Amino acid sequence: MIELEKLSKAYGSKQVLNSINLKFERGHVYGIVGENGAGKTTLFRCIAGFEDHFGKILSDFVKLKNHLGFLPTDPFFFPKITGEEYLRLMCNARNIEDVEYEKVNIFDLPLNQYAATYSTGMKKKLALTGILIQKNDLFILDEPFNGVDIQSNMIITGIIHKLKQLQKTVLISSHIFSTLSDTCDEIHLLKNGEFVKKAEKNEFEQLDKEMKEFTIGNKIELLNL
Amino acid sequence: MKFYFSLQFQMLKRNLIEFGVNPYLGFLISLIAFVGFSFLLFFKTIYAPYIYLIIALSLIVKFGETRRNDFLKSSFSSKNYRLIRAIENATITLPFVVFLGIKNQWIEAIFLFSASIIFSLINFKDRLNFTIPTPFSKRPFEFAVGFRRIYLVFFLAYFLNFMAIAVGNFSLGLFSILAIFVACMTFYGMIETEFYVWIYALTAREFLLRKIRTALLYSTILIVPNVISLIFFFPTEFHFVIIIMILGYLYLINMILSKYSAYPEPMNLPHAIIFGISVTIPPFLVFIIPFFLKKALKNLKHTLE
Repeated sequence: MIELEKLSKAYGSKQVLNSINLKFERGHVYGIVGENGAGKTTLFRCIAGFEDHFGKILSDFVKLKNHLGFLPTDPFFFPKITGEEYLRLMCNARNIEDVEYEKVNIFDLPLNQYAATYSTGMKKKLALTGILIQKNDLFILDEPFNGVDIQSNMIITGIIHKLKQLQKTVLISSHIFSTLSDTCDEIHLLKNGEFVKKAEKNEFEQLDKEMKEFTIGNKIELLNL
Repeated sequence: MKFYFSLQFQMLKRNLIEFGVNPYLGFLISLIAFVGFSFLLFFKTIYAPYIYLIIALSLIVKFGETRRNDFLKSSFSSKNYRLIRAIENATITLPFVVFLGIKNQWIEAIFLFSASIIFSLINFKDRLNFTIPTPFSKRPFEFAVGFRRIYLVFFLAYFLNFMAIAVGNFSLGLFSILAIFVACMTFYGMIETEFYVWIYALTAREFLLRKIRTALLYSTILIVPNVISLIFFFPTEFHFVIIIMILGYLYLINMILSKYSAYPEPMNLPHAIIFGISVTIPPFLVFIIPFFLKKALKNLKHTLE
């Protein structure tokens, strides 16, 4: 379980997260939606411990970060490090041994090639494989479906279902609402650093409709196309 | 095009400011350091013009990197793009050409200037499909990445060692070991994103110990051929080999600690000065290593603990 208590974060005078309270339970998948700049990535970075913040982040673990798999929006890879070496690094970091890298390569990535030369989707899949073989308890997936082909999209959806089954906690952000409605138990709408709406499974359709109306409104008309 | 170069100049100034030095003072220091280094190099070795050529050419190769050039090609007309590349290369090599001229090395100077113009017509691909094999895959990333970047330096060091034995020049052999250590130190010039530190389920102390252990093990693998052959062919001088090895290990440890003492930022001017002192006056390592260690532990605690 993870609990956020009055979590706030500001960059200079810009308040990015504003006194957020939220609880994430084991065996649940949570979707976080919001416009660009709403604070989703900052929220994830605070939970992961990358950012200093105000308020509390409580968890069942002594060191939350050692049980957390973080998939950034745009994973970084060193030039001249192969896919397999990246996976090995992820395992070394958590003292995990005896991993059969070819076997866990469910996305059929060219593991002997330099990871930096992979396409956007391949990089995402490699980074995701890396955090999955670490056997984490909590997963933060920042835009996991971005740039990923349709087949891999289905595999990722399947993985999220499996993680839920294994009583893991999963936090996902995505701009593709359908991927969230397929996987999440709850979706939270983040706006200007605050959660303004929470929807459970039976309310997803309504939330999607409201978001479309709110986001699009009459903006397209303004273009005079 | 004029704006492009003024932007480059601004970027250079910003880098110097981030390094903690006034830009104009930085230019002056760079000029003095370049002249000082050049005189020292030409004073120390007869191979100086060739080393000079390698340094200058390796600098302009960087400007031929594919992605950078793709950007330039898409932003400027073909004529202006070629002109930018030629001006950049000529500017980089100019100080080297001038100094070679001062030293009456006219052939090398003309060769270097011509090469800088020819190189402006070539782009160097950094996205080869071929993966260079490395014995350092088990514990990524510094040695695996670093070895692939500059593996030729190691072959050169082994060649120098071979020559040292062939001509009975023990000092050259020692130099080859030191060169390998210096090459290994450059692996730690890369600043990884916080993610690559954050992923470790280790305390700051354990993290540093692991980094140091890996560095010592892998650098030993690289120097073993030179060490064994030197001890075999110059058995009476083996204690010098041991001294150079210990010094190399200490330099390497110092490099790792100094990197993480500034982390996640690159080393700034005060760090660079302290590091420079430790390199030029090795006894100071006794004080500087604990100093860097303390700072590195404090820095890493923020990310790891």
